[in-house]
Amino acid sequence: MDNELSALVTIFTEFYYWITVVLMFLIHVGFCMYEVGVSRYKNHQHTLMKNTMLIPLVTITWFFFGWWIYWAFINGPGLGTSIISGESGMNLVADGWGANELGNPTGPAMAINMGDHISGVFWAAFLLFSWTAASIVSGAVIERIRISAFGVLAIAIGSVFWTIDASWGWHFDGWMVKVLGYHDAYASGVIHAVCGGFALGVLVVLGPRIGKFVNGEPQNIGPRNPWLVTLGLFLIYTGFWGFYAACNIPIFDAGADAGAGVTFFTATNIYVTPTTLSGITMNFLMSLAGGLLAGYVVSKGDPFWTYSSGLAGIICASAGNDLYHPLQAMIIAMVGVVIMYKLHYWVERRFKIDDAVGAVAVHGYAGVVGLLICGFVLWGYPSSMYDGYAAITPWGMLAGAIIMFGVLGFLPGYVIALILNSAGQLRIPREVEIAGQDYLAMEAAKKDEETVASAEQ
Amino acid sequence: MPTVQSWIDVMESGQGQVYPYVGTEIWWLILAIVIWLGWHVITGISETEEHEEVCNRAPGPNDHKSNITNW
Repeated sequence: MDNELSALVTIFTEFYYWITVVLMFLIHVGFCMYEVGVSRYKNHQHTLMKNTMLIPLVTITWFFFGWWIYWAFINGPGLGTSIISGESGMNLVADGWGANELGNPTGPAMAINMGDHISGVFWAAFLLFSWTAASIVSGAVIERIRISAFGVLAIAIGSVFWTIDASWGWHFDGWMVKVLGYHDAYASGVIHAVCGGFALGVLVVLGPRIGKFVNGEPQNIGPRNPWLVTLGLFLIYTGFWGFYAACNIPIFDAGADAGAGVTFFTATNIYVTPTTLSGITMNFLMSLAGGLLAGYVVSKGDPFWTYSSGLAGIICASAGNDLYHPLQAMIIAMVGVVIMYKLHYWVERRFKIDDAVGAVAVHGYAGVVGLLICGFVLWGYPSSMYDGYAAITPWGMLAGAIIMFGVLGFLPGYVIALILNSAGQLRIPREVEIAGQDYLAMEAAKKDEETVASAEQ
Repeated sequence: MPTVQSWIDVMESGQGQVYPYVGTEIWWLILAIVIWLGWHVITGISETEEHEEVCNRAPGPNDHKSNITNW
Protein backbone atom coordinates (compact mmCIF):
# COMPACT_ATOMS: atom_id res chain seq x y z
CA MET A 1 0.00 0.00 0.00
CA ASP A 2 2.32 2.73 -1.21
CA ASN A 3 -0.33 5.04 -2.69
CA GLU A 4 -3.82 6.19 -1.74
CA LEU A 5 -5.67 4.18 -4.39
CA SER A 6 -4.10 0.81 -3.60
CA ALA A 7 -4.58 1.55 0.11
CA LEU A 8 -8.25 2.31 -0.50
CA VAL A 9 -8.81 -0.92 -2.42
CA THR A 10 -7.01 -2.99 0.21
CA ILE A 11 -8.71 -1.44 3.22
CA PHE A 12 -12.11 -1.56 1.46
CA THR A 13 -11.63 -5.27 0.74
CA GLU A 14 -10.54 -5.93 4.32
CA PHE A 15 -13.56 -4.08 5.69
CA TYR A 16 -15.92 -5.72 3.19
CA TYR A 17 -15.02 -9.21 4.37
CA TRP A 18 -15.11 -8.08 7.99
CA ILE A 19 -18.71 -6.95 7.53
CA THR A 20 -19.64 -10.29 5.96
CA VAL A 21 -18.17 -12.12 8.96
CA VAL A 22 -20.31 -10.10 11.36
CA LEU A 23 -23.41 -10.66 9.22
CA MET A 24 -22.74 -14.38 8.95
CA PHE A 25 -22.59 -14.65 12.73
CA LEU A 26 -26.36 -14.17 12.55
CA ILE A 27 -26.61 -17.52 10.76
CA HIS A 28 -25.32 -19.17 13.89
CA VAL A 29 -27.58 -17.15 16.17
CA GLY A 30 -30.45 -18.24 13.94
CA PHE A 31 -29.45 -21.89 14.05
CA CYS A 32 -29.28 -21.77 17.85
CA MET A 33 -32.76 -20.22 18.12
CA TYR A 34 -34.10 -22.61 15.54
CA GLU A 35 -32.80 -25.74 17.26
CA VAL A 36 -33.99 -24.66 20.69
CA GLY A 37 -37.39 -23.86 19.17
CA VAL A 38 -37.63 -27.32 17.66
CA SER A 39 -36.37 -29.29 20.67
CA ARG A 40 -38.54 -30.25 23.61
CA TYR A 41 -38.33 -28.40 26.93
CA LYS A 42 -36.34 -31.11 28.68
CA ASN A 43 -33.58 -30.87 26.05
CA HIS A 44 -33.27 -27.11 25.50
CA GLN A 45 -30.03 -26.48 27.36
CA HIS A 46 -28.11 -29.38 25.87
CA THR A 47 -29.41 -28.58 22.40
CA LEU A 48 -28.20 -25.01 22.75
CA MET A 49 -24.83 -25.99 24.18
CA LYS A 50 -24.27 -28.58 21.46
CA ASN A 51 -24.67 -25.95 18.79
CA THR A 52 -22.70 -23.37 20.75
CA MET A 53 -19.66 -25.54 21.38
CA LEU A 54 -19.13 -26.21 17.71
CA ILE A 55 -18.04 -22.57 17.50
CA PRO A 56 -14.80 -22.99 19.46
CA LEU A 57 -14.16 -26.53 18.25
CA VAL A 58 -14.43 -25.69 14.57
CA THR A 59 -12.62 -22.38 15.06
CA ILE A 60 -9.48 -23.82 16.62
CA THR A 61 -9.31 -26.80 14.25
CA TRP A 62 -9.90 -24.46 11.32
CA PHE A 63 -6.83 -22.60 12.58
CA PHE A 64 -4.84 -25.81 13.14
CA PHE A 65 -5.52 -27.52 9.82
CA GLY A 66 -8.79 -26.52 8.09
CA TRP A 67 -7.46 -23.49 6.24
CA TRP A 68 -4.30 -25.42 5.34
CA ILE A 69 -6.44 -28.17 3.75
CA TYR A 70 -8.28 -25.60 1.61
CA TRP A 71 -5.05 -24.43 0.02
CA ALA A 72 -3.25 -27.78 -0.05
CA PHE A 73 -5.79 -30.04 -1.77
CA ILE A 74 -6.75 -28.11 -4.92
CA ASN A 75 -5.28 -30.83 -7.18
CA GLY A 76 -6.96 -33.67 -5.35
CA PRO A 77 -4.04 -34.50 -5.11
CA GLY A 78 -3.42 -36.25 -8.40
CA LEU A 79 -6.70 -35.29 -10.09
CA GLY A 80 -5.75 -32.00 -11.71
CA THR A 81 -2.84 -29.72 -12.41
CA SER A 82 -2.53 -26.34 -10.74
CA ILE A 83 -2.45 -23.41 -13.15
CA ILE A 84 -0.24 -21.58 -10.69
CA SER A 85 2.42 -24.12 -9.88
CA GLY A 86 2.02 -26.58 -12.76
CA GLU A 87 2.08 -29.38 -10.18
CA SER A 88 -0.54 -32.08 -9.70
CA GLY A 89 0.37 -33.10 -6.16
CA MET A 90 -0.23 -31.28 -2.90
CA ASN A 91 -0.14 -27.52 -3.34
CA LEU A 92 2.40 -26.40 -0.77
CA VAL A 93 4.78 -23.72 -1.96
CA ALA A 94 3.38 -22.23 -5.13
CA ASP A 95 4.09 -18.62 -5.96
CA GLY A 96 2.68 -17.08 -2.85
CA TRP A 97 -0.52 -19.10 -2.99
CA GLY A 98 0.83 -22.30 -1.51
CA ALA A 99 -0.69 -23.86 1.56
CA ASN A 100 2.55 -23.63 3.50
CA GLU A 101 2.50 -19.87 3.22
CA LEU A 102 -1.21 -19.18 3.60
CA GLY A 103 -2.51 -21.97 5.81
CA ASN A 104 0.41 -22.88 8.03
CA PRO A 105 -0.74 -22.05 11.58
CA THR A 106 2.81 -21.06 12.50
CA GLY A 107 3.33 -18.95 9.36
CA PRO A 108 3.37 -15.15 9.07
CA ALA A 109 0.04 -15.01 7.18
CA MET A 110 -1.79 -16.55 10.14
CA ALA A 111 -1.33 -13.64 12.53
CA ILE A 112 -1.36 -9.85 12.62
CA ASN A 113 0.91 -8.90 9.77
CA MET A 114 1.62 -5.34 8.69
CA GLY A 115 2.11 -6.51 5.12
CA ASP A 116 -1.11 -8.53 4.79
CA HIS A 117 -4.55 -7.04 5.43
CA ILE A 118 -6.58 -9.75 3.70
CA SER A 119 -5.51 -13.26 4.73
CA GLY A 120 -6.90 -13.09 8.26
CA VAL A 121 -10.32 -11.75 7.34
CA PHE A 122 -10.54 -14.20 4.43
CA TRP A 123 -9.70 -17.00 6.89
CA ALA A 124 -12.48 -15.70 9.12
CA ALA A 125 -15.05 -15.59 6.31
CA PHE A 126 -14.30 -19.22 5.46
CA LEU A 127 -14.45 -20.10 9.14
CA LEU A 128 -17.99 -18.77 9.32
CA PHE A 129 -18.86 -21.05 6.38
CA SER A 130 -17.39 -23.88 8.45
CA TRP A 131 -19.58 -23.08 11.44
CA THR A 132 -22.58 -23.17 9.13
CA ALA A 133 -21.49 -26.56 7.80
CA ALA A 134 -21.35 -28.05 11.28
CA SER A 135 -24.53 -26.29 12.37
CA ILE A 136 -26.50 -27.82 9.49
CA VAL A 137 -25.64 -31.27 10.84
CA SER A 138 -26.35 -30.19 14.41
CA GLY A 139 -30.08 -29.69 13.89
CA ALA A 140 -30.69 -33.11 12.36
CA VAL A 141 -29.36 -35.03 15.36
CA ILE A 142 -30.93 -33.20 18.30
CA GLU A 143 -32.27 -34.86 21.44
CA ARG A 144 -30.29 -38.11 21.21
CA ILE A 145 -26.64 -37.50 20.31
CA ARG A 146 -23.82 -37.18 22.83
CA ILE A 147 -22.30 -33.69 22.82
CA SER A 148 -18.81 -35.22 22.82
CA ALA A 149 -19.69 -37.26 19.73
CA PHE A 150 -21.16 -34.25 18.00
CA GLY A 151 -17.94 -32.36 18.69
CA VAL A 152 -16.00 -34.94 16.70
CA LEU A 153 -18.55 -34.89 13.88
CA ALA A 154 -18.59 -31.07 13.82
CA ILE A 155 -14.83 -30.96 13.38
CA ALA A 156 -14.99 -33.65 10.68
CA ILE A 157 -17.50 -31.77 8.55
CA GLY A 158 -16.54 -28.22 9.55
CA SER A 159 -12.76 -28.43 9.36
CA VAL A 160 -12.06 -31.40 7.08
CA PHE A 161 -14.66 -32.66 4.60
CA TRP A 162 -16.38 -29.46 3.51
CA THR A 163 -12.91 -27.93 3.31
CA ILE A 164 -11.74 -30.64 0.92
CA ASP A 165 -14.77 -30.12 -1.30
CA ALA A 166 -14.21 -26.36 -1.24
CA SER A 167 -10.61 -26.92 -2.23
CA TRP A 168 -11.74 -29.17 -5.08
CA GLY A 169 -14.77 -27.28 -6.37
CA TRP A 170 -14.84 -23.82 -4.78
CA HIS A 171 -11.41 -22.51 -5.65
CA PHE A 172 -10.35 -20.85 -8.90
CA ASP A 173 -7.58 -23.46 -9.18
CA GLY A 174 -9.65 -26.46 -7.97
CA TRP A 175 -9.47 -29.67 -10.03
CA MET A 176 -13.28 -30.09 -10.19
CA VAL A 177 -13.62 -26.67 -11.85
CA LYS A 178 -10.93 -27.51 -14.40
CA VAL A 179 -11.82 -31.11 -15.17
CA LEU A 180 -15.60 -31.24 -14.60
CA GLY A 181 -16.55 -27.64 -15.27
CA TYR A 182 -18.06 -27.62 -11.80
CA HIS A 183 -19.85 -24.36 -11.01
CA ASP A 184 -21.28 -23.62 -7.59
CA ALA A 185 -21.06 -19.88 -7.02
CA TYR A 186 -22.96 -19.64 -3.71
CA ALA A 187 -22.44 -23.17 -2.48
CA SER A 188 -25.50 -25.29 -3.29
CA GLY A 189 -23.10 -28.22 -3.21
CA VAL A 190 -19.95 -27.24 -1.39
CA ILE A 191 -21.78 -26.26 1.80
CA HIS A 192 -25.34 -27.51 1.59
CA ALA A 193 -25.27 -30.80 -0.35
CA VAL A 194 -22.17 -32.02 1.45
CA CYS A 195 -23.60 -31.21 4.88
CA GLY A 196 -26.99 -32.69 4.03
CA GLY A 197 -25.27 -35.87 2.87
CA PHE A 198 -23.08 -35.94 5.97
CA ALA A 199 -26.14 -35.50 8.22
CA LEU A 200 -27.92 -38.33 6.43
CA GLY A 201 -24.92 -40.62 6.92
CA VAL A 202 -24.93 -39.86 10.64
CA LEU A 203 -28.71 -40.29 10.93
CA VAL A 204 -28.62 -43.75 9.37
CA VAL A 205 -26.37 -44.93 12.22
CA LEU A 206 -27.80 -42.74 14.99
CA GLY A 207 -31.39 -43.84 14.51
CA PRO A 208 -34.64 -42.02 15.27
CA ARG A 209 -35.74 -40.44 18.55
CA ILE A 210 -37.81 -42.67 20.81
CA GLY A 211 -41.43 -42.34 19.73
CA LYS A 212 -40.73 -40.98 16.28
CA PHE A 213 -41.88 -44.19 14.64
CA VAL A 214 -44.76 -46.12 16.21
CA ASN A 215 -45.63 -49.38 14.48
CA GLY A 216 -43.53 -48.20 11.58
CA GLU A 217 -45.53 -45.00 11.13
CA PRO A 218 -43.74 -41.65 11.50
CA GLN A 219 -45.13 -39.41 14.23
CA ASN A 220 -44.82 -35.64 14.20
CA ILE A 221 -42.68 -34.36 17.08
CA GLY A 222 -43.57 -30.75 16.44
CA PRO A 223 -41.62 -27.62 17.34
CA ARG A 224 -41.88 -26.67 21.02
CA ASN A 225 -41.79 -23.01 20.06
CA PRO A 226 -42.69 -22.26 16.44
CA TRP A 227 -42.08 -18.53 16.92
CA LEU A 228 -38.48 -19.13 17.99
CA VAL A 229 -38.15 -21.27 14.87
CA THR A 230 -39.51 -18.38 12.82
CA LEU A 231 -37.11 -15.84 14.27
CA GLY A 232 -34.26 -18.28 13.88
CA LEU A 233 -34.94 -18.74 10.18
CA PHE A 234 -35.29 -15.00 9.62
CA LEU A 235 -31.85 -14.56 11.17
CA ILE A 236 -30.47 -17.33 8.96
CA TYR A 237 -31.88 -15.51 5.91
CA THR A 238 -30.18 -12.32 7.12
CA GLY A 239 -26.86 -14.03 7.66
CA PHE A 240 -27.19 -15.64 4.24
CA TRP A 241 -26.91 -12.17 2.66
CA GLY A 242 -23.55 -11.87 4.33
CA PHE A 243 -22.67 -15.31 3.04
CA TYR A 244 -23.49 -14.28 -0.53
CA ALA A 245 -21.33 -11.18 -0.23
CA ALA A 246 -18.52 -13.18 1.33
CA CYS A 247 -18.49 -15.54 -1.66
CA ASN A 248 -17.52 -12.62 -3.90
CA ILE A 249 -14.30 -10.75 -4.39
CA PRO A 250 -15.59 -7.17 -4.12
CA ILE A 251 -13.22 -5.39 -6.51
CA PHE A 252 -10.88 -7.03 -8.97
CA ASP A 253 -9.32 -6.24 -12.33
CA ALA A 254 -10.55 -9.37 -14.09
CA GLY A 255 -9.44 -8.14 -17.49
CA ALA A 256 -5.81 -7.82 -16.49
CA ASP A 257 -5.83 -11.12 -14.61
CA ALA A 258 -7.28 -12.97 -17.59
CA GLY A 259 -4.73 -11.42 -19.93
CA ALA A 260 -7.53 -9.93 -21.99
CA GLY A 261 -5.64 -6.72 -22.65
CA VAL A 262 -8.37 -4.60 -21.08
CA THR A 263 -8.95 -3.13 -17.67
CA PHE A 264 -12.20 -4.52 -16.29
CA PHE A 265 -12.82 -3.79 -12.64
CA THR A 266 -15.68 -5.86 -11.30
CA ALA A 267 -16.91 -7.97 -8.43
CA THR A 268 -16.26 -11.64 -9.07
CA ASN A 269 -17.43 -14.93 -7.69
CA ILE A 270 -15.07 -17.36 -5.97
CA TYR A 271 -13.85 -18.59 -9.38
CA VAL A 272 -12.79 -15.02 -10.26
CA THR A 273 -15.36 -14.74 -13.05
CA PRO A 274 -17.35 -11.50 -13.19
CA THR A 275 -20.69 -10.90 -11.50
CA THR A 276 -22.27 -8.01 -9.60
CA LEU A 277 -23.30 -7.68 -5.97
CA SER A 278 -26.37 -5.92 -7.28
CA GLY A 279 -27.47 -8.80 -9.49
CA ILE A 280 -26.87 -11.54 -6.97
CA THR A 281 -28.92 -9.62 -4.41
CA MET A 282 -31.86 -9.63 -6.83
CA ASN A 283 -31.43 -13.35 -7.39
CA PHE A 284 -31.15 -14.02 -3.66
CA LEU A 285 -34.47 -12.29 -3.03
CA MET A 286 -36.25 -13.84 -5.99
CA SER A 287 -35.13 -17.35 -5.02
CA LEU A 288 -36.21 -16.66 -1.44
CA ALA A 289 -39.59 -15.58 -2.75
CA GLY A 290 -39.90 -18.62 -5.00
CA GLY A 291 -39.02 -20.93 -2.14
CA LEU A 292 -41.57 -19.36 0.20
CA LEU A 293 -44.33 -19.46 -2.44
CA ALA A 294 -43.73 -23.12 -3.27
CA GLY A 295 -43.25 -24.12 0.36
CA TYR A 296 -46.53 -22.54 1.42
CA VAL A 297 -48.40 -24.51 -1.23
CA VAL A 298 -46.77 -27.92 -0.82
CA SER A 299 -46.89 -27.79 2.98
CA LYS A 300 -50.43 -26.39 3.00
CA GLY A 301 -49.36 -23.30 4.91
CA ASP A 302 -47.30 -25.04 7.58
CA PRO A 303 -45.03 -22.31 9.05
CA PHE A 304 -42.12 -24.64 9.80
CA TRP A 305 -41.92 -25.89 6.23
CA THR A 306 -42.78 -22.56 4.63
CA TYR A 307 -39.86 -20.79 6.32
CA SER A 308 -37.55 -23.74 5.68
CA SER A 309 -38.60 -23.69 2.04
CA GLY A 310 -37.53 -20.06 1.73
CA LEU A 311 -34.08 -21.19 2.76
CA ALA A 312 -34.22 -24.26 0.51
CA GLY A 313 -35.21 -22.06 -2.41
CA ILE A 314 -32.12 -19.90 -2.01
CA ILE A 315 -29.94 -22.98 -1.59
CA CYS A 316 -31.32 -24.55 -4.76
CA ALA A 317 -30.68 -21.47 -6.91
CA SER A 318 -27.33 -20.65 -5.31
CA ALA A 319 -25.13 -22.70 -7.65
CA GLY A 320 -25.91 -20.40 -10.57
CA ASN A 321 -27.16 -17.26 -8.87
CA ASP A 322 -24.14 -15.34 -10.15
CA LEU A 323 -25.53 -15.69 -13.67
CA TYR A 324 -29.25 -16.54 -13.57
CA HIS A 325 -32.00 -14.12 -14.48
CA PRO A 326 -34.06 -13.31 -11.36
CA LEU A 327 -37.09 -15.08 -12.80
CA GLN A 328 -35.00 -18.16 -13.47
CA ALA A 329 -33.77 -18.01 -9.86
CA MET A 330 -37.36 -17.87 -8.63
CA ILE A 331 -38.59 -20.81 -10.70
CA ILE A 332 -35.52 -22.95 -9.98
CA ALA A 333 -36.11 -22.31 -6.28
CA MET A 334 -39.73 -23.44 -6.59
CA VAL A 335 -38.77 -26.65 -8.38
CA GLY A 336 -36.14 -27.41 -5.76
CA VAL A 337 -38.55 -26.86 -2.88
CA VAL A 338 -41.22 -29.18 -4.26
CA ILE A 339 -38.66 -31.95 -4.83
CA MET A 340 -36.94 -31.60 -1.45
CA TYR A 341 -40.28 -31.55 0.42
CA LYS A 342 -41.60 -34.69 -1.29
CA LEU A 343 -38.25 -36.43 -0.94
CA HIS A 344 -38.07 -35.66 2.79
CA TYR A 345 -41.30 -37.50 3.57
CA TRP A 346 -40.55 -40.34 1.17
CA VAL A 347 -37.14 -40.99 2.77
CA GLU A 348 -38.58 -40.61 6.28
CA ARG A 349 -41.27 -43.20 5.65
CA ARG A 350 -39.22 -45.56 3.48
CA PHE A 351 -35.97 -45.65 5.49
CA LYS A 352 -37.20 -44.54 8.94
CA ILE A 353 -34.90 -41.54 9.01
CA ASP A 354 -35.65 -39.03 11.77
CA ASP A 355 -34.31 -35.72 10.51
CA ALA A 356 -35.59 -33.49 13.32
CA VAL A 357 -35.27 -30.18 11.47
CA GLY A 358 -35.43 -31.30 7.84
CA ALA A 359 -31.74 -30.46 7.39
CA VAL A 360 -31.06 -33.26 4.93
CA ALA A 361 -33.93 -32.06 2.77
CA VAL A 362 -33.44 -28.29 3.01
CA HIS A 363 -29.67 -28.42 2.56
CA GLY A 364 -28.90 -31.78 1.02
CA TYR A 365 -31.70 -32.49 -1.45
CA ALA A 366 -32.23 -28.84 -2.40
CA GLY A 367 -28.47 -28.46 -2.89
CA VAL A 368 -28.22 -31.51 -5.13
CA VAL A 369 -31.24 -30.45 -7.19
CA GLY A 370 -29.69 -26.99 -7.52
CA LEU A 371 -26.45 -28.44 -8.89
CA LEU A 372 -28.28 -30.60 -11.43
CA ILE A 373 -30.47 -27.72 -12.64
CA CYS A 374 -27.42 -25.48 -12.89
CA GLY A 375 -25.78 -28.02 -15.20
CA PHE A 376 -28.63 -27.66 -17.67
CA VAL A 377 -29.38 -23.94 -17.39
CA LEU A 378 -25.70 -22.89 -17.60
CA TRP A 379 -24.78 -25.63 -20.09
CA GLY A 380 -21.86 -24.41 -22.22
CA TYR A 381 -20.86 -21.46 -20.03
CA PRO A 382 -17.13 -21.26 -19.29
CA SER A 383 -16.40 -22.31 -15.73
CA SER A 384 -13.40 -20.00 -15.59
CA MET A 385 -11.79 -17.16 -17.51
CA TYR A 386 -8.50 -19.06 -17.58
CA ASP A 387 -7.51 -21.35 -20.47
CA GLY A 388 -7.92 -25.10 -20.33
CA TYR A 389 -10.96 -25.31 -18.06
CA ALA A 390 -13.94 -27.52 -18.96
CA ALA A 391 -17.21 -25.77 -19.69
CA ILE A 392 -20.27 -26.24 -17.46
CA THR A 393 -22.24 -29.38 -18.44
CA PRO A 394 -25.05 -31.47 -16.93
CA TRP A 395 -22.76 -34.50 -16.56
CA GLY A 396 -20.01 -32.44 -14.94
CA MET A 397 -22.51 -31.07 -12.44
CA LEU A 398 -23.99 -34.55 -11.86
CA ALA A 399 -20.51 -35.84 -11.06
CA GLY A 400 -20.03 -32.85 -8.78
CA ALA A 401 -23.31 -33.53 -6.99
CA ILE A 402 -22.32 -37.16 -6.40
CA ILE A 403 -18.93 -36.10 -5.02
CA MET A 404 -20.49 -33.49 -2.76
CA PHE A 405 -23.49 -35.37 -1.36
CA GLY A 406 -22.15 -38.91 -1.53
CA VAL A 407 -18.36 -39.10 -1.50
CA LEU A 408 -17.51 -36.18 0.80
CA GLY A 409 -20.85 -36.02 2.63
CA PHE A 410 -22.74 -39.25 3.24
CA LEU A 411 -19.76 -41.60 3.25
CA PRO A 412 -17.59 -39.90 5.89
CA GLY A 413 -20.65 -39.11 8.03
CA TYR A 414 -21.70 -42.76 7.97
CA VAL A 415 -18.21 -44.14 8.66
CA ILE A 416 -17.38 -41.76 11.52
CA ALA A 417 -20.80 -42.31 13.11
CA LEU A 418 -20.28 -46.06 12.78
CA ILE A 419 -16.92 -45.85 14.56
CA LEU A 420 -18.35 -43.68 17.36
CA ASN A 421 -21.34 -45.99 17.68
CA SER A 422 -19.23 -49.12 17.87
CA ALA A 423 -17.31 -47.47 20.74
CA GLY A 424 -20.61 -46.69 22.49
CA GLN A 425 -19.92 -42.97 22.16
CA LEU A 426 -22.54 -41.83 19.64
CA ARG A 427 -25.96 -41.95 21.27
CA ILE A 428 -27.09 -41.08 24.77
CA PRO A 429 -28.53 -43.93 26.88
CA ARG A 430 -32.24 -44.67 26.55
CA GLU A 431 -32.88 -43.62 30.16
CA VAL A 432 -31.36 -40.19 29.53
CA GLU A 433 -33.34 -39.71 26.34
CA ILE A 434 -36.58 -40.50 28.17
CA ALA A 435 -35.77 -38.31 31.17
CA GLY A 436 -34.43 -35.50 29.01
CA GLN A 437 -30.84 -34.40 28.57
CA ASP A 438 -31.38 -31.46 30.94
CA TYR A 439 -32.85 -33.54 33.77
CA LEU A 440 -29.99 -33.03 36.24
CA ALA A 441 -29.57 -29.35 35.37
CA MET A 442 -33.30 -28.73 35.84
CA GLU A 443 -33.27 -30.61 39.13
CA ALA A 444 -30.35 -28.54 40.40
CA ALA A 445 -32.09 -25.32 39.39
CA LYS A 446 -35.25 -26.40 41.23
CA LYS A 447 -33.26 -27.13 44.39
CA ASP A 448 -31.63 -23.69 44.15
CA GLU A 449 -35.03 -22.09 43.80
CA GLU A 450 -36.42 -23.92 46.82
CA THR A 451 -33.39 -23.04 48.93
CA VAL A 452 -33.65 -19.36 48.03
CA ALA A 453 -37.43 -19.41 48.62
CA SER A 454 -37.03 -20.95 52.09
CA ALA A 455 -34.40 -18.35 53.01
CA GLU A 456 -36.77 -15.57 51.97
CA GLN A 457 -39.58 -16.76 54.27
CA MET B 1 13.19 -7.96 24.03
CA PRO B 2 9.90 -6.89 22.40
CA THR B 3 9.40 -7.60 18.71
CA VAL B 4 8.66 -3.93 18.09
CA GLN B 5 10.94 -1.33 19.61
CA SER B 6 10.19 1.49 17.20
CA TRP B 7 7.16 1.83 14.93
CA ILE B 8 9.23 4.00 12.62
CA ASP B 9 11.62 1.09 12.15
CA VAL B 10 8.65 -1.19 11.37
CA MET B 11 7.37 1.16 8.67
CA GLU B 12 10.77 1.77 7.16
CA SER B 13 11.80 -1.88 7.07
CA GLY B 14 8.45 -3.30 5.91
CA GLN B 15 8.48 -5.68 8.88
CA GLY B 16 5.31 -7.81 8.87
CA GLN B 17 5.21 -9.80 12.11
CA VAL B 18 4.73 -7.63 15.17
CA TYR B 19 3.42 -10.09 17.77
CA PRO B 20 5.55 -11.07 20.78
CA TYR B 21 8.03 -13.94 20.70
CA VAL B 22 8.24 -14.36 16.92
CA GLY B 23 9.85 -17.75 16.24
CA THR B 24 8.09 -19.57 19.08
CA GLU B 25 4.86 -20.23 17.14
CA ILE B 26 5.35 -24.00 17.02
CA TRP B 27 5.37 -24.24 20.82
CA TRP B 28 2.16 -22.23 21.12
CA LEU B 29 0.63 -24.52 18.51
CA ILE B 30 1.63 -27.68 20.39
CA LEU B 31 0.20 -26.26 23.63
CA ALA B 32 -3.06 -25.35 21.87
CA ILE B 33 -3.40 -28.84 20.35
CA VAL B 34 -2.85 -30.45 23.75
CA ILE B 35 -5.57 -28.21 25.23
CA TRP B 36 -7.92 -29.09 22.35
CA LEU B 37 -7.46 -32.85 22.69
CA GLY B 38 -7.68 -32.61 26.46
CA TRP B 39 -11.00 -30.83 26.14
CA HIS B 40 -12.45 -33.78 24.25
CA VAL B 41 -11.23 -36.27 26.86
CA ILE B 42 -12.55 -34.25 29.81
CA THR B 43 -15.90 -33.59 28.12
CA GLY B 44 -16.38 -37.23 27.18
CA ILE B 45 -15.67 -38.44 30.72
CA SER B 46 -17.93 -35.89 32.41
CA GLU B 47 -20.74 -36.59 29.96
CA THR B 48 -20.52 -40.32 30.69
CA GLU B 49 -20.62 -39.65 34.45
CA GLU B 50 -23.71 -37.46 34.03
CA HIS B 51 -25.44 -40.12 31.97
CA GLU B 52 -24.63 -42.85 34.51
CA GLU B 53 -26.20 -40.80 37.29
CA VAL B 54 -29.42 -40.34 35.32
CA CYS B 55 -29.47 -44.02 34.32
CA ASN B 56 -29.14 -45.10 37.95
CA ARG B 57 -32.19 -43.04 38.91
CA ALA B 58 -34.12 -43.65 35.68
CA PRO B 59 -36.61 -40.78 35.87
CA GLY B 60 -39.82 -41.04 33.85
CA PRO B 61 -40.60 -39.05 30.72
CA ASN B 62 -42.58 -36.41 32.65
CA ASP B 63 -40.52 -36.21 35.84
CA HIS B 64 -38.70 -33.14 34.55
CA LYS B 65 -41.94 -31.18 34.83
CA SER B 66 -41.69 -31.18 38.61
CA ASN B 67 -38.33 -29.45 38.21
CA ILE B 68 -39.56 -26.50 36.18
CA THR B 69 -38.67 -23.38 38.14
CA ASN B 70 -40.84 -20.34 38.62
CA TRP B 71 -38.10 -17.76 38.44
